[in-house]
Amino acid sequence: MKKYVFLLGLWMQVASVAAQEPPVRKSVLSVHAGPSWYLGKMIGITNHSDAYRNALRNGIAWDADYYFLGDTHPFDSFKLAPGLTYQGGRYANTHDESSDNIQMHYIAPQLALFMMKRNHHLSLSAGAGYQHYKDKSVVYGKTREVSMNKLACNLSAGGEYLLAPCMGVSARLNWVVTSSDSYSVRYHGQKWQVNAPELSDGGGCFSHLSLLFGMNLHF
Amino acid sequence: MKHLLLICLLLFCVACEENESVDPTIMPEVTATGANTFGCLVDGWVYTSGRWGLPNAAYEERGEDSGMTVSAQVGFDSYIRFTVVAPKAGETCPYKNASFENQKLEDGQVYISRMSDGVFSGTFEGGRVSKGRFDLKYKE
Repeated sequence: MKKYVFLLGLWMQVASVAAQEPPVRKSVLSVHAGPSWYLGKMIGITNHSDAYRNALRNGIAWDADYYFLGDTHPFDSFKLAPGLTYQGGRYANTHDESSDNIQMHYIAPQLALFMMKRNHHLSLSAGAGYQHYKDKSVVYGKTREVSMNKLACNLSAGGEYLLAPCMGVSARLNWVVTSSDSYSVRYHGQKWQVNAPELSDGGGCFSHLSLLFGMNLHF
Repeated sequence: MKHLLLICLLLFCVACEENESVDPTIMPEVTATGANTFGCLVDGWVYTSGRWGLPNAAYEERGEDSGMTVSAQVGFDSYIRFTVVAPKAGETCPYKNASFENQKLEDGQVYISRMSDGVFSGTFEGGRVSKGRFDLKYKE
């Protein structure tokens, strides 16, 4: 009889532990990579034919994000969380006489709204920061470098499926947008500032839209 | 005296005005529309006009040296010039008296794509110069 009472008590303890909420993890770190599309004005490139520009619009992107969720985030609730994002992107194309290799790096503080569910999370975030832009182009075999570093902002939407309390797989749609009406070009030991570039109709807005897939780590 | 110096300074500034919307590292397309463009490679490097003024073409009667002289400013203080001997549309003609930044260049060949309605256009190369093209307006 004592044995059965002991086993019953033990079973109740185990059931009680299993029914408790998992430990709260305050932060989430995620990394992603995937295809990216360059939208808007192409500024400072070596060839302005439609075919060349269209091919140059397809690229790749990658990002790393950190968000601080805080101590409490009960399920089936919304949570506002600050964070930081970094996104890189690359677009390249080659023509008979020239080539472009555009690299962009964007970093910005973020404010995100998380919808916390037991097995998955959804998020929407936005921020403003700085974008470093460089086009390492080649013209008739000689290197030419275009720089166009500007302020930029982003809007992102993502979803995560939890594989374990500390880890999940996620997808993210990022849109980083900026504007420029000038660039600097370095060629043959000289540097010029090109303002309202006539080959780019004076410049304007451009952005990159990325669909990224990756992993999240909760800690 | 002060007024004279000020006027000279103002004229100097106007004369040196750069068109900052032109990228001097991009070669213009080969056209024949009177677009006022000029570009070529010298030792493999791109030189174009437009940022420091428009190129021009002028016919000069000088006996054996008669021909169309093409002149383009490709830098702040840098010019490319040559004279096309007896130019005719649709034909390849020699050019001579070529110079770049006060250096004498080798003679070369010019293909004249158009020489009518005030438009003088073609492609050229010779010696250190390659991939040359011009599309100019001239007075007939």
